[in-house]
Amino acid sequence: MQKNKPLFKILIQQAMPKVMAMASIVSIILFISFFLFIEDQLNNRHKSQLEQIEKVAVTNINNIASQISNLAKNDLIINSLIDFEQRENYLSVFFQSLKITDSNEVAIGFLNFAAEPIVVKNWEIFEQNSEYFNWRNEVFEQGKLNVDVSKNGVLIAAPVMYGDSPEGAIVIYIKSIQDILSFSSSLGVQVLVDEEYKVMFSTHPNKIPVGSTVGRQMLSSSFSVQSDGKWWKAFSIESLTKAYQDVLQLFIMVFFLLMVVIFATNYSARISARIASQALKTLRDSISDASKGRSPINQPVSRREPSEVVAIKSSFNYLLHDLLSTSLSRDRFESVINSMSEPLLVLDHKFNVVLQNQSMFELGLQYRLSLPDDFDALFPSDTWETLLHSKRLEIDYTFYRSLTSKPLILEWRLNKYISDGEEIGYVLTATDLTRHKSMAFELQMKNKAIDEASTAIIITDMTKSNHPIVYVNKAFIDLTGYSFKEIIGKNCRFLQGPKTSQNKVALIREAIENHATLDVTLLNYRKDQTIFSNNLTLSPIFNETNTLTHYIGFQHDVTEQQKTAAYLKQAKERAEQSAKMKSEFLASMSHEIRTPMNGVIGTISLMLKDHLDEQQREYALIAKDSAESLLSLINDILDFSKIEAGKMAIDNYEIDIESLTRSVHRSFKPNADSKGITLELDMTNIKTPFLIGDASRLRQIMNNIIGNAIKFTEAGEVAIAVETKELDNKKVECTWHIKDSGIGIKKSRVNSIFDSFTQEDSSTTREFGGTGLGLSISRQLCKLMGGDIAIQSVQGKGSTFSFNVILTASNDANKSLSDKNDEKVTFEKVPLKALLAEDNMVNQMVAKKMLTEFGLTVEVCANGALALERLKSSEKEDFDIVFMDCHMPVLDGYDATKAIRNGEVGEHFKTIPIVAMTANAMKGDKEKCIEAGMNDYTAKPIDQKVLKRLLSDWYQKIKL
Amino acid sequence: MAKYLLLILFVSISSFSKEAIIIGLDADLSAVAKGGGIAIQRGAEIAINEINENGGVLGRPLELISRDHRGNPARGKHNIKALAKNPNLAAIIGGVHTPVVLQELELIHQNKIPFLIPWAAGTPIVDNGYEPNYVFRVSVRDAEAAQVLLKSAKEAGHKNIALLLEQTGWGRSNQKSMQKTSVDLGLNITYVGWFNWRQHSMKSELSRIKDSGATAILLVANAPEGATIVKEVASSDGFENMAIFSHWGIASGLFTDKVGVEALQQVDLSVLQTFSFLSPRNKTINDYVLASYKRNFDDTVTAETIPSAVGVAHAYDLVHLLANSITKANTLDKEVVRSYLEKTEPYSGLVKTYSPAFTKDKHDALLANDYFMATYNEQGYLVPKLNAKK
Repeated sequence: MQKNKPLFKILIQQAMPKVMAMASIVSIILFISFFLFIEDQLNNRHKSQLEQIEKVAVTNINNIASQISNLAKNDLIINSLIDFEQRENYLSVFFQSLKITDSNEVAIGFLNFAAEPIVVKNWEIFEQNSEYFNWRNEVFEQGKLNVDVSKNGVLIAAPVMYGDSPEGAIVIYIKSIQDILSFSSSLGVQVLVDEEYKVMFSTHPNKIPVGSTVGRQMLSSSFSVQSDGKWWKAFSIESLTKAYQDVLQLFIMVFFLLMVVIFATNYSARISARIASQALKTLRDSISDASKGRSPINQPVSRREPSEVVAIKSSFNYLLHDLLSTSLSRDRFESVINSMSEPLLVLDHKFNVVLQNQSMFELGLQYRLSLPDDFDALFPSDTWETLLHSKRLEIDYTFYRSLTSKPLILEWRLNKYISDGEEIGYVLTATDLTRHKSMAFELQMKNKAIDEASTAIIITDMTKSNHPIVYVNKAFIDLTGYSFKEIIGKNCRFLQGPKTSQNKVALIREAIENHATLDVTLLNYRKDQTIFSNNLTLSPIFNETNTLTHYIGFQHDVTEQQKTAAYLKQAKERAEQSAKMKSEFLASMSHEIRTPMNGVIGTISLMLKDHLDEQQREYALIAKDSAESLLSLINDILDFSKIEAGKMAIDNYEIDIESLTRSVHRSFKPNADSKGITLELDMTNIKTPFLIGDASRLRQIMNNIIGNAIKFTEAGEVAIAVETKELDNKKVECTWHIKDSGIGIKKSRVNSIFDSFTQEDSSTTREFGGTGLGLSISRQLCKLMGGDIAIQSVQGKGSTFSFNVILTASNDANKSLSDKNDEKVTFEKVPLKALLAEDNMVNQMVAKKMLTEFGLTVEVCANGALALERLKSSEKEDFDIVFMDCHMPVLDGYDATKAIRNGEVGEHFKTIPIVAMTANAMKGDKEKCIEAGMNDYTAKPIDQKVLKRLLSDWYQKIKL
Repeated sequence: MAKYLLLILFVSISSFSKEAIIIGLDADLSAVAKGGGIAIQRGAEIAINEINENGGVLGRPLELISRDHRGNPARGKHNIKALAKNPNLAAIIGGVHTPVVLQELELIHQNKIPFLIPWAAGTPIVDNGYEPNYVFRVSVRDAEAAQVLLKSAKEAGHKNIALLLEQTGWGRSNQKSMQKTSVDLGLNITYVGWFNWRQHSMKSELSRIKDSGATAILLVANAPEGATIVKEVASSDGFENMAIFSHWGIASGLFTDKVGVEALQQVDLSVLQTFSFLSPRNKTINDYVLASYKRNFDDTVTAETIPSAVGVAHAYDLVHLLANSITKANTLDKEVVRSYLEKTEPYSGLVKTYSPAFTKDKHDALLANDYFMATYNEQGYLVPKLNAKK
């Protein structure tokens, strides 16, 4: 058995840690606050010291800088830049006597514009260090004052301005900032360091010498304050022991105080322990005597006995008496009321606790209740009055916040506490309703959410045989039109009707049997028998024993959604159809217009070759010109459509821009001559004539712009100048300048003339004709070739149109030359036998006439089928070549060609050359013809030159 | 005939395929006296274009290379060194500033470059002590200028005059010649005042001049300082009757702009000049140069408004004199060209008919007889002062 400790030790054990802790806390707080105070003081003192030093340094430097700039502005100095002869007389005297600072380590110089010295003093000092300073640009280029401070010294250079230009400089160099700054400090050491922490200035060079480095180590092992200046970092440094001397002294004092406290505590504990233990010893002795003799405890033995001990003795005697009589019945009663889970509380009229059970005790403990003081917290506001009146009351403490801010609802019951027929207080019992209420509220909330949801929700009871509906929400009523009464208790089959898919109903049935979820869309009926497309999601609900109890269904009316999807699909198809139609229309337009135009132009050309009288010839020429204009107009519109449709393609082959430009020039020459206009051509700036590009498109642009220039010029000249400029990557920029002395263009209209269907002025259309498409097309073509058109124009004086394109340099210049020569080969007649398949009478006539003129023998068929028949009944020698129109009734050119290539007209014609003749001038037609098995292609109206070249090619191939 | 044509063709092709003959220009083209510098440049270019259009010199074209010294002698010397390196250099034309030219003389004679002076008037520029002397001037000569200035002052009835001079070689050269001439003319110089370049105010000097009892100031200044002085004379009390006879340095910069037309009208100011397009000596050349100036540089000028006309005229004549000498010398050898410059034949130029311009002992083409006094008219342009003209 453990031996109890004496009172003295207990007192020491109890009191000493608390006293010590309190004393230590006080000491620490005292110590820390004193430390902080001292440190703050230290910081401030060092900071102000640093500020002072920096201020002196900056002031000194600025003083010197302002002296130097004033000197540089002195007119005598400026004049001496000019006055070479006499300046020696005054400058050297002046500079030798000039004293800017007290230091001897100062170089000062007056330099010329190239920084060569004019007059200098101690200059060798600067020259040894001049490499560290970069000041010339600032002074000589920008004419600014330059001030530079570093570990290498202080350099101040001011420009000597003559007018606005710096023509010389005054430069002062001080070897060390130490030389111009003297400052004695009693508070540690202050230094100015450069960005490498090299000391430039020190208040105590014997402690931290100039040129040494202020390291991290030095800073961390001593007290330091830093501040950043324009040219330096400044530090104030003091050793830790010196800086914190005061703190150290305080620490010793506090330690001593602590010792005194410990001693005092120990001593007073011993004294009180001795007194107490004596008194207790006497008490113990008398109690022990009393218990032995069953007699009351002795009354005071001596007067020295403390009054507390005497009182204890008398109370002890009473206690001894009562104890035995009451202890038994009390135990039983308490065990009964403590077994109640509800809190029970008995109060007297003054609300003192007479009795409480364990549950009430715990409640009191939980909410820190102490009655009667906290009675208002337990029954806040007028709840007590209400309870007295009604005997039963629910109190929601969340509302009053008197006990707790957490949810707590208690239902109190009140009975009178009657003893011996007299009401002496109240009996209160409480029931905790918190959990119950909160669950009820949550349920209510969720019910509301489901009721108000926009999705129709339906719940069926799966435990009953016909799966009756037990719940539907408002959205379901709105969707179906039925009322609650009509729905509840029924099977949901009533939504189905004749149009409801039986397959889908089967799906639902299957899902229910498998207790599975399902997502299905089916046709359902409303109460008014209208149909809607219902997207139904079914989801099973299981109870705790994993038995299926309910099915929950979510329903959406997706009728509109399905309609919209169908409509969009239709619209897309229509749009695609329309685009296809547009492109086909364009193609047929091309074909339909070119075919008759071919007829017209061909016929007139033939007519002109016949013998006509003067008048007839004139009419025929006018008709031909008009038809050609119309054709060019159509070509413009077709080109424009192609560009719009993105179908315009630029060819790339070898071209010679010199001969191309010359040929365009030649073609316009007669026109210009007839108007009395000079048409100049300057090709001296063509450096790279052989290029790869699209000659026909370039010719088209030139024709348009030169044609316009001639058209709008009444007198004077039109000058064409061409230049090339080589760019990177073998690219060559070609620029044509067409300058005229014509009517010019208003400034405000220069940009808009490139718009489609626009001319400079609507009156222009009346006077000069034209669609206004030409320039727009030309510009688009230029852009397709990587260039653009620019205009300079003065109204009434003329315009210069410059257009440029980016082409590639040709690798093979000679080839281009030989190609050019080919054109000049004289044409000989080609005695071939040809079969022509062509349905249009006029075109038959024109084509036949042209071919005949070139020496061919021509036989004509009106469609592809007839052509096949004719070939079938012929020998190989009968025909050398076939000319095939593509669009013909009965059998078109493509199919006829395929038949020939398949040998349907005999092996001997399987490889006969077939040339397509078609008005389909759209891009891609040529490929279509070649794909069908044709060998060559010519667009209608047939160009005689093209036909000529084509025929001589084929003649050579066939005869070889 | 065809043979000759071929020969001409060959010669003309070969001539311009050769390298150009370089004439250097070293003048202030951007700072305070850029007006004078640019006038010199334009005069030289007009002459060079004219000569090149007529086949060049020795079958080679002439070309002007301009360098800017901003009025700074140190820069000037630097420029001379750079120009001297060019093997095709025939001569260098100097600028407005006498101090700059004086500092360059040593380098010029070291490198033996004919040095043509169209403006700077300092007497020691020509009387430089070098033998042989490479300096040739078509401009005012200070020693001579002193005579003209002092004579005009005397003719206007002034007896007591003060000198106000810039503190440079040019100012000192004028002081000497004026003091010498004043004794000859019986004029009393009451005070000699000096000022520095870029000095902001000359009021103290001006009040000393007034206190000395002078009624006229003989001014030797460039445009910026001249403008300061004239403005201060115009705005100070007690100077209403003070006449100013100015050397021509003030006409080199934007003098009129700096002083203002109104202030100019308040001051009795006459300026030494050698030439004005308003009084042509050779009508054909006068018209040609004026037309060429308009065509090439500024088509708004007139004979009256053409800026720093003397610079244009002197440079124009100097280039022609040089071209003639090279042609005569038939070589670019600078020593030979120099000797031919001393042997120029009588030549009818823009400024006057030189008979001849230079001889072995006379390297100044214009002397006192060629100078006249001009005055600023109401629009602020220099026009010859009729009563001062001889």
